[in-house]
Amino acid sequence: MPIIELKNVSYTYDDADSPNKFALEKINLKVEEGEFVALLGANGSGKSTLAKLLNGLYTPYSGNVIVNGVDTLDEERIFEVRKCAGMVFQNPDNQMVATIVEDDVAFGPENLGVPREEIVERVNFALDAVGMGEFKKNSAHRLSGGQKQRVAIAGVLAMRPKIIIFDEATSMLDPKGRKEVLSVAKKLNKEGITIIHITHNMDEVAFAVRAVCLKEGRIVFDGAPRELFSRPQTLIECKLSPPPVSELARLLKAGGMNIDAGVLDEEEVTEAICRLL
Amino acid sequence: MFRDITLGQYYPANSAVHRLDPRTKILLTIFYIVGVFFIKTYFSYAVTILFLTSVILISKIPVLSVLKSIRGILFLVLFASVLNLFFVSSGEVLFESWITPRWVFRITMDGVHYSIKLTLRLILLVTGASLLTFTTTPVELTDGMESLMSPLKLIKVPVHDIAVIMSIALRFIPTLLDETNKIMNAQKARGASFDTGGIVKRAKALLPILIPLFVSSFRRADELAFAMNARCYNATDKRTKMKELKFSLKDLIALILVLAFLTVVFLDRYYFMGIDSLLFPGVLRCAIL
Repeated sequence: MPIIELKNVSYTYDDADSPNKFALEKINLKVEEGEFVALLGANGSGKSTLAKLLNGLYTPYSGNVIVNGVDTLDEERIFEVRKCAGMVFQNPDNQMVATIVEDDVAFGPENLGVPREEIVERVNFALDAVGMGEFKKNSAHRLSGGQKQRVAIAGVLAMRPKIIIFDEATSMLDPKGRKEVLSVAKKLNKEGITIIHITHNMDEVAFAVRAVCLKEGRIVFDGAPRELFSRPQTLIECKLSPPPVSELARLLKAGGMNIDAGVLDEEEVTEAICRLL
Repeated sequence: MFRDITLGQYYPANSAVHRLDPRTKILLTIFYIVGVFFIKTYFSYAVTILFLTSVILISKIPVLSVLKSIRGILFLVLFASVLNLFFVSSGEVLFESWITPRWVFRITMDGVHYSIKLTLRLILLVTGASLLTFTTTPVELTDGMESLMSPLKLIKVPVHDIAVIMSIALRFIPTLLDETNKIMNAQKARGASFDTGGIVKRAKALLPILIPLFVSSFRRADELAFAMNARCYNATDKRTKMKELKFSLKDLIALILVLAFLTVVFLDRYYFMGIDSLLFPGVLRCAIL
């Protein structure tokens, strides 16, 4: 059974009685447990809306979102959904509830009514998992962007989720912070947590096993990143620019060289070029 | 411009004062403030300064950053003390000049004493109160307040909601200060000036800062609400707390010390005025204090 299932989901920001424009239209998507999915799209393509549908922050206009067997329309069980699907937001400053790192991480389990001793345990575990254990007592305000996002991830981890949704969580970070967050995401994925990574940075897509492209509220591509990169037409259609490596590969191929256009990173492209020489 | 505001800024350190129960600290701060209002003599002020300094030293907070908290009220202090210098007219006259036949400009010994004491009082109040926020995290502070106010739940006061609102407000002070600086720099880069011109012009110059600040605060509030919802926020009794408040021996010792301090102040006020009257004969006649 897929851990996330969207059945014919539509969503609109308009008045529910007379919607003119849908942010998402008839989306069907299944995500299996343990997957690393990159959700791509230009601004206004509906990718953040989709993210907020996945943990019941928004409820669909029509259709159903099923997370871990629970429908997000079921208000009684909404906390189950949110506990299962944690979310890391874009702006590191706007998702910290407490001033001190450990207090912020404890916020989730406190809301769930976890007993005190276990909260302490969970907080320590979560902070160690993202490599922020030594900053436990620090004031969150003084941390770097990447560190703040890692604390936010710890805050989600402390709720013991099965899914973590990164809602453009890297877009406000410098390259170093970006790397920190992505490597934590990769590590957690290896430990069995399903990751949904929303981004418009194509470099980060290479991390994922599966890429889903949105355009004007519809899914236009669903497949391996490698396949996506070898189809520049799809990328242009979605107003996305391919990463420099695959652009290079494409140009070389267009120039008559025998090279696979679906390369993912620098290493692969170097290898391919070396082989040709 | 706003960088001097230290209120609400926690200074992390591992000291006996930091480890006190926040409820104790809040109550003792209130006791201290009441005590300061009862001070009448220089001797008591000396005792208070000694007491406060030792608390600061025990709390391991750099004295300089505590003193910085005075900067915010410096203008108020100056204004109040200068005003008192001119308007207290009892006691031995130090300087006198008749401006008009009906209005006399006069500085008296009592006025000088009054100004000095007022200055001391304001400074002691602010440093004492900021010591509370220096040694207590906003979360502890609101937890303490929540616990102290919990009897109010009986008359349906939403104590928990108030505590959450307070802690979020405190949490966003540094964020909003940063934001203000950014907006000011952005406006300066486009030629705005904030420190020239008369008071009306300056007030008007603040408008292009306040409007973007308001807009972004609302956006922040919106995003924070999402983030809190995503983490299952609820204001029900089901919530648990990681940090449980517990009174211990330390709290008792702190209570005894503050009570001792209060005893000295009260005894001095009602029985031992003698020390000051020996040091500053005439000060006793200053009836207002």
